[in-house]
Order: sequence, then C-alpha cells, then structure tokens
Amino acid sequence: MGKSDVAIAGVGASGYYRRGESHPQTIQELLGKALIAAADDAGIPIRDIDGFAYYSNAQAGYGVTMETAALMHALGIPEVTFSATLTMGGGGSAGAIGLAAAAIRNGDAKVVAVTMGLQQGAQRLGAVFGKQAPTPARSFFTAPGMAGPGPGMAPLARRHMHKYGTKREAFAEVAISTRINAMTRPKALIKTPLTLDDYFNARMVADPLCLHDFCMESDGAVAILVTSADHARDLRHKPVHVHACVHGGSADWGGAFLWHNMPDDTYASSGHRTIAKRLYERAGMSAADIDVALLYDHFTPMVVMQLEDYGFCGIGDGGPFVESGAIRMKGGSIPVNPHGGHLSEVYVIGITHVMEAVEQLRGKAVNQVQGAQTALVTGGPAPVPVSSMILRS
Amino acid sequence: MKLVPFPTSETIIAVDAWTAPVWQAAARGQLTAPRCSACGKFHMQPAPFCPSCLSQEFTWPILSGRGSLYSYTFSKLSRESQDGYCVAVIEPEDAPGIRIVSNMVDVDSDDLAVDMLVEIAFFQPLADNFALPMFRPLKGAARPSDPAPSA
Repeated sequence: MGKSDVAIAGVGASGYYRRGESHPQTIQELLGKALIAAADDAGIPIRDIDGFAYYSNAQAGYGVTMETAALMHALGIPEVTFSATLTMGGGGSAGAIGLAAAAIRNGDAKVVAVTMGLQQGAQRLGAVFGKQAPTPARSFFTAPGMAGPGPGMAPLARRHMHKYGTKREAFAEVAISTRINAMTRPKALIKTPLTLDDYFNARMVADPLCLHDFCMESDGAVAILVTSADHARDLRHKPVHVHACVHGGSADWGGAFLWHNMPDDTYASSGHRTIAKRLYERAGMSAADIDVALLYDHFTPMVVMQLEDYGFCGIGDGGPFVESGAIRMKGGSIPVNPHGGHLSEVYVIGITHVMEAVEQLRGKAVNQVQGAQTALVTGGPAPVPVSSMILRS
Repeated sequence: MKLVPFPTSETIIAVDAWTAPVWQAAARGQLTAPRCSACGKFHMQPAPFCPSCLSQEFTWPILSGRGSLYSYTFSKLSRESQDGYCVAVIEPEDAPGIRIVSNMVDVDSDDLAVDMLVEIAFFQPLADNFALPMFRPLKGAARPSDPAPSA
C-alpha cells in the first residue's frame, strides 16, 4: 500500500519576517527566492521547473494572487506544461503536493513547484472576514462579530472543554512544547521561553483562546519541488517519497464550519476524521506507524483535536494526552512540529510543515527526530478542502 | 465583563433570494429559518436546495426566540475597553438541527454557561433596515452546572 513513484527533491524558503517587515520585497520576490533556493537544494537549474501546483486558490493570503506567468517571467522559466490550484484556503497545504504528484504521474510535467508566500503588512488574516466584501453567506457570521478565524475556532474549543473536560492547560502545553522546539531554530521568529504562568497571564483574545493560542502574523515564502522518484534519485538529496496524500472533507464539518451547524458528534473536532481514515487506508498505515507529525497549528486546540482525529489518542482524550508530554521532542510518543510550527517559527499557511517533514526524513532537521522514516503532514482545519499526507524516506 | 451588542455601524449585510427572508423577518422583529416544505427539515444557512431532499420549496416559520447556548466566545470591544461582546452559537428550541450565530447581552461574561437557556432580548438594528436578534439568559431559568464533562 502507498506509493513510491513520486518524491520531493527540493525545498527552499525566503527569509522569515514579522508582519510587514519583508517590505519592500514584493510577494513575487519572496516566492522567487524560495523557488531559487528549492532548485539549488535539488541541484537542478530553475528553468527545469515545468509545472506549478498551488492551494488556497493560488492566493498568497487574501487578495494577492500567485501568478504563474509572473513567476516564469521573473525566473526565466521558458515553458510550463501544468498550472493548477486546489480551492479554498490553507486546508490544501498538504493536498497541493498530491496535485503535483497527479501531474507527475499523468505525464503532464516533470518538475512541479508547490509554493506559498504571505505578506500580512497590508491585510491581517486575523481580521480578514470583516474586511472582505460582504456576501450572503459571510453576513451570517460577520454581523455578530466573527471577524476572523480566531472567534470562529474559539466556540469549538469551548465545546471541547465542556464535552470532554479539556482544560486550558492542554492548549498551553501545545504552545509551550512548540515554543521549546522553536528556541533552537535559527530562523524561528519567536524564541523567548514560554512558561505556564506566561500563558495564563497573557491577554485573552477570543475567550477561551489567549494570545499564545493563536499562530503568529508573519511574512515569508516556501517552495517544494515534486518530481518522479526516478528523477529524484539522480539529484542531490535522498528522495522523500509521497507515500499517500488526500484532500477533501465532509459537508458535516467543512461545509458548516464558521456558521457552526456541525452535528454535535463532530462539532468539537478538527474536521479531519473522514480524510484521516482515507489517508491511512491509502497508506496502509495507522497512527502507530507515524514517526513525526507536522500538524497545522493555527490555533492550539486544533492540534489537540487533530491528534484525536488522526488516532494518536481517543476522541475526547486529546487534553490529557498532550498534558502527559506525548507531543514533546524529549520523551514524547509522537513529536509534533519540531520546527516550531505556526505558533513560534513562522506562519506561511502550512507549507513550512511540508518543508520540515522533508528535512526530518532526510535526517537533517535542526531538531531531528532520531530515525524518522515517516511523517504526517496536515493542512487545515478549515473549510473544505482540508488535506493530509504521509511522506516517507 | 459587561457584554454589549457587537458594534454594527459599519456592518453591511449582503443578501440573495434565499437568505433575504431571514434578514427581512429580523427587521420586523421576528426570528425565522427555512424549513423544507417537502421533508420538513430545517437547515442553515439558507440555500437554493434542501440538502436532504433537493426541494426548492420552503416555509419560513416564526420561531419562539427561545433556545440554548451551544457554545460561545467573547472578546473586549477594544484593548482599552472595559466592555466586551459575545459571539454566541444558539440552538433554537423549535428548529431542530440548526444553529444560529448571534450575540449574548444583558449578562456578565462570568455568568455565561454552555447549554444555558436563552431568549431573544431585542433586535439590534443594522444598516439597510436589517436587524440581528440579541439573546439573553432565559428569565427564571436555572443556570446549568458548568463545566460538566459528559462521561
């Protein structure tokens, strides 16, 4: 089960910046630097890129489009034979690798770049719903003040606390363990120690979520190069295989999210249960086979709920599970986000998690999980599609 | 923290043929939701088809305005403000299977509780003569114990 015909051959990133500090670089410049770095990493000329696969509707944040033609022009890429995107938002960050893999398998392109960049100087994602033109659908949640993803997620966290007895200490542990990982990463944007007291003394933003439950606001870009495993074997690094990759989601959660009409049994969840099942079936694996997990951490409770939905613990048990130290690099049963994630390293809409998975499976990560041979990467929780994949060395 | 309606002076409501009845009813001081004429199920948000049976025929029953607080979040109006607003997810008592997103008022944030019984306090006017129902604790109702993990 699983596949071994497609691999990731190169990863690269621009610099990482606090919100607005990447100015005066443009988004094309940040993306270009990431693509150049990824081609260098793979050991191929950048003109060998002949395909682009995006997610989030090829939007670098909201209202900024990643244009294939502009990237070709800027980087001297003479011709592409594939250019496509997954729909919606950050939920597609893992799934875009599957889109690239489909292009490789179909013979549409030989080297497909998956890229994402973000500059939040002009528009902060945390307040984005209120800034977008009103639509009939959005009006139902913008009118009462659900201005961004934070107030959208907070009621799920509260229902999880009510239904299962989950404590804020569990959310704190996600923030603290992720911070510990970031502290040894040269490129991480937040490396100051975080204690439980710091957590409980922090400003409440959308109760029960405080400042440390939110991902950071930042600028940066990352590129991932996907090619055939045969081609990858001739390149600079050991290939990292795209073992299985899925995207999609259920109408129950991914359709009802943000207007909060999910059924009670899935309301306090990450919206990943159906695709988690499909991923493991496709991979021929279970949670026990995963060595390191790169979980989309825009909000700490969503890490807890993904751990449940991907079977690392029982449904409702995520709080005690993380509080036991299970996700720590030192002594944990499933190390989560050794790169510091969205919470402490940088937030570039999920793609840094893909890059970290590749570095882990090459055995060359800054915070290396010893002997890691399999990595789970997730995109979302967000409206359909969410996505996930298992990479292996 | 004292909870007030979310400031709506700049809120613009977009409607289409399927969502307009909700906002028009609110402007008249009534709470409604679409109910499929064929299969009888309520659904939110309003859409061109009943997701259960694909009918396009709906009725718009006037709901009692009572229900329960399924979940919620609250924030300060601004970092400097002493007041806050509560985004509330409400389950109407007479429209099974749906929830609506609104605000809680006439209550301190410390006194909110998941599953507490609520009722409409008043309709907050919005631009273009639309309105949004504001909920408060149901008068005379006991407060549910909170938090109460279900075994």
